[in-house]
Amino acid sequence: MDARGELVARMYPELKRIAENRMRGEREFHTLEATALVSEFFLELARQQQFTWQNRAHFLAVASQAMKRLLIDYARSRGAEKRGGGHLHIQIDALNLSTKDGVLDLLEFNNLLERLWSEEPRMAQVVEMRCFGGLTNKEIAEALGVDERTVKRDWQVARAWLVSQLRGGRPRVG
Amino acid sequence: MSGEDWERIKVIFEEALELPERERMGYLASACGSDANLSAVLVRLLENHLEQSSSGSTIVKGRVFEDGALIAGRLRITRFIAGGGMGEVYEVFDERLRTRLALKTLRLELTSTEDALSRFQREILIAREVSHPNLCSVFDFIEHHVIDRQTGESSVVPCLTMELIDGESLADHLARERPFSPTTALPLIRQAAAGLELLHDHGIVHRDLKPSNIMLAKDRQGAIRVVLMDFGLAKRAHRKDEMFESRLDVHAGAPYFMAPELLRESGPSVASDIYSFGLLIDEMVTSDRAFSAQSLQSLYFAKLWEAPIAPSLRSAGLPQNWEATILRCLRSDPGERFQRVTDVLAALEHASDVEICPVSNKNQLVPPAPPSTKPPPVRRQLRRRTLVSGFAVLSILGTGRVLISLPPNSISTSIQVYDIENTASASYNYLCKGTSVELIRRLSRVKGMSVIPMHEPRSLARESKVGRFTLEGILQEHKEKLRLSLLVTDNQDSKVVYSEDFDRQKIDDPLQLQSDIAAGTALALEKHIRPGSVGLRVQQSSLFPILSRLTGGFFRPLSQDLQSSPTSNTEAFDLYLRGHQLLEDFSSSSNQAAISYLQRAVKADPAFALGYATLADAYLNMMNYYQMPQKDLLEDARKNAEMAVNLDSDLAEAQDSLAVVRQTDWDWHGAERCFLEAIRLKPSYAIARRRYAGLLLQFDRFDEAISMAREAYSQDPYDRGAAPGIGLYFYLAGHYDEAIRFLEGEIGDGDMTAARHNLGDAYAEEAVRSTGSRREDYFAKAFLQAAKVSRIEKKEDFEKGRYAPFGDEMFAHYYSLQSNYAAARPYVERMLTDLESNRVSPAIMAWIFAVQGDKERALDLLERALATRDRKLFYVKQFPALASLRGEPRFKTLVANMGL
Repeated sequence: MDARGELVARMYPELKRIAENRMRGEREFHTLEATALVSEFFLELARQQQFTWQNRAHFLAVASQAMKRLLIDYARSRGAEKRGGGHLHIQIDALNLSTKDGVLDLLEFNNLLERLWSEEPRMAQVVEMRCFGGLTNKEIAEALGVDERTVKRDWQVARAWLVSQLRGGRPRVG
Repeated sequence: MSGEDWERIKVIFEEALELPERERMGYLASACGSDANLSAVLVRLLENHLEQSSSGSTIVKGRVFEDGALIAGRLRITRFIAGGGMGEVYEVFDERLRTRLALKTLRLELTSTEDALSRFQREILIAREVSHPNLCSVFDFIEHHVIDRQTGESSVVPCLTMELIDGESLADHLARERPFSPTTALPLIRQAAAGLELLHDHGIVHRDLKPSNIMLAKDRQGAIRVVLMDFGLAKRAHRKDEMFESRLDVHAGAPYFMAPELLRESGPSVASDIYSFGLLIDEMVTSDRAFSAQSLQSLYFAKLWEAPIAPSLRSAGLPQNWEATILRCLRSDPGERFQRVTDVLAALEHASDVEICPVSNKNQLVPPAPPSTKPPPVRRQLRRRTLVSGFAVLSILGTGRVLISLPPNSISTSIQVYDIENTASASYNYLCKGTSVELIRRLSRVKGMSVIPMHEPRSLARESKVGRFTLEGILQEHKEKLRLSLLVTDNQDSKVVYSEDFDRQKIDDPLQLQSDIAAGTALALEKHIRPGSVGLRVQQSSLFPILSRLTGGFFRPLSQDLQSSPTSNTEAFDLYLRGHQLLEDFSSSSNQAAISYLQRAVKADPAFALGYATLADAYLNMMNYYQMPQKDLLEDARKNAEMAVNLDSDLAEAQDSLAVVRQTDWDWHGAERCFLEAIRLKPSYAIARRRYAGLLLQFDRFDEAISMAREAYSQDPYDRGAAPGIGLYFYLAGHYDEAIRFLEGEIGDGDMTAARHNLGDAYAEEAVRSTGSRREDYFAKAFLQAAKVSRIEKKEDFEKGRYAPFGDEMFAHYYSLQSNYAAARPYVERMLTDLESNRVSPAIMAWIFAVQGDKERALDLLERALATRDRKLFYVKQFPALASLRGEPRFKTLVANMGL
């Protein structure tokens, strides 16, 4: 298992605990608020003594990615537990969605993100760090070693594309 | 869509966004030309973008009370003042007492349980007891009942009445005005400190010190009164699951001002208040943040793992004692901060106390100087110094640089030196490591000074106070500026005795930088240990930092001890530092890179003795990787070591390198002479002692070897080569139990492959000498070490993935000792492949075959190793694995040929 895999495996119970605590039970479908979750998860991760970080950028990059993988794992496990209707919904402030109270289906979102990965990996990474790491453009630029302007552009295009796709709109793209 | 399309979309999209909205469609049409597909995508993207940005998600929460409402039958709401994480604040008119008050609501979640509510009330009772002009008075606790109009449910809003303070918060002031100068800030800090100190005296921890909780009220005369608000109330806001609610407050304060131990779930304490107080002072004089973080996530990381950005980088001209005081408040270990608020204030008020803190005689570890070297009476000395100081100031104006140094025998003390921490870009790693090493080297040359290298930065080290003083440093980068800050503290009372900053210009000249640091440190220590010798009076002067560096130098002859620089060529020294740093990595690729740096270093300064000596070491190290012909490497090592000794025969490092060359050359006597010379030249050079121990062992001088190794170890317990070395010596001397005891104690959870290798071997030998369950037990322990070593090696060697030479050797060795040759086979085969590609020493291969009873093959391999003068043959006589060969004539010839 690689270092990141190990990190994900070790942190899974912790994330699950945080997620269950944070689940909004009163909803028709269970919804997580990404921002609150991310912040609690990052703090938990930062406290862990067994992981060592080269620097802040390394921590932020790894943690964002771990957060995403953990959430996807969690969403899948819930889907498996409850046949149908087990989808995990998440509210991602960074996306600033105006519909559905800003809530989206995590697995659907992940599928879109994977499509983005195959075509524009850096754009996908920017999305990951914004949505699952709660980071700002400046922080992402530092972590990826690119210009802040580049991050901003990537994010604007990626967000607009993701949003158009999430609404079921299918702009004809290549 | 292809990658190119995306690129084009991004460019057009961004350009469109920069245009006024009405021009965008026209631009799209011209930019996309006839590509209707592209145009459609872009229109879609733009629409989505516009919708998003217009729908901001600002949540405005309803206020609890409307203007004019009557609370608890007597308090009329006159206006809303502020709302925050803790609750809302209103101005009210008490209709019974005819007076204006402030009313604060407390968030319902914070007081939801009976228990919480009663504890809260108890705390208010205590807070009411504390009355001080700099503390906001708390009057009453009120429960206001509200009935929800929609659901009809009733709920309680707990409120607090407090003194109404007319003024603005420090946060508002700082947002509007320029930062305070230290002179303006000091009276305000003094007031805040007075209030805080009183709280602490009553056993109350403020818990939420931040600029928005500090009011600046103007009294009738126009003087500013500082009032601390909300003390003791924030506790539940720090409860784990509540903390994250304050996300919106990142800029208002809370998490930023929180002490790092609170993030680690320790409870609030006086020390955590001191931390927040430090940040508060910092913010007052810099209007900037000591931890730059935009998101809460970054902030957590910064607070837990990073050092604060030095205040003086953010506020030009900040006095040094302010900087030192702030940084001391911000220590991540609460025990290292000031213990009382008054100490913080004293440090700010008395500049000199922070820089030089004389200890009283009774605290001194160092015996008074013998009568013969007794300093002249203080008065006379002072007068002389003062006169000379004045002169020295003139001279610095003339020459721009005055060097200082110390006479020999001026100090008798110990200092632990941590590696300089690099928080700037990784490209400065070499500078930090190199400067640390050079500092250790230079300070250890000061007679009477014993230097304990810690080999890691303070922030990573386990807390240990092994010396009288601690030297630590940090390299920081902030908006194009680069600064190296050094701090020496007295371990007895944690006071700062020396601190100095070096800016980029200085850093670009590492030689001068190191001279300055070494000299400054030594001087500060001397003054610290011998109070009264230099300028208790001079301290009062603001010129002290300059004077302190001048007086010593002017008084005393420049000593060779501190000033001798290994080279006067800056470029050569820079290359040397880079090379030296790479050598510490213990991998073949970095070793190779180190060689090329060191070659360039001696090319830049052909008279650079230390450069040649280190280059020789690098070639000798390279021999361990079996990648290049051993003979060529040895020749290169020899040339450079001899060059180093020819250039400077008094350089211990040069003698030491030459000693190892001679040892590798089987010139045992020559090696011994050089080792002894190196030790004589620099008794504190632990590495030479450790290496000499190995030579002694080759000649079965076990007791001498072990005591020499122990000495080296006690001199430099953090030397990476020492622990496995000593373990090996015990092992070779046949003291397996001692080897085990020693190595088990040293390894702990560390990687330390070489030490684990030796430990595994020692377990295996004990196993062979035991029976029954003890035997099984020892073997199990040996295999466990083999497995750990394999794992560590594979982890370290990412590119090669499966490559674990030590691990393979250990498994092959232990299975062979168990006579389980089938299990050993895959490892042996892999070793044989590695042997063909010269990645394993034939001598090591020989051990395995000797253990397996294949004497012929073992002897063949040993003779093959002999032909290449393999270094692994050093302990051919001592290795237990080869014991079965000792009676063989071929083996005896081999040992005789080696001159052992």
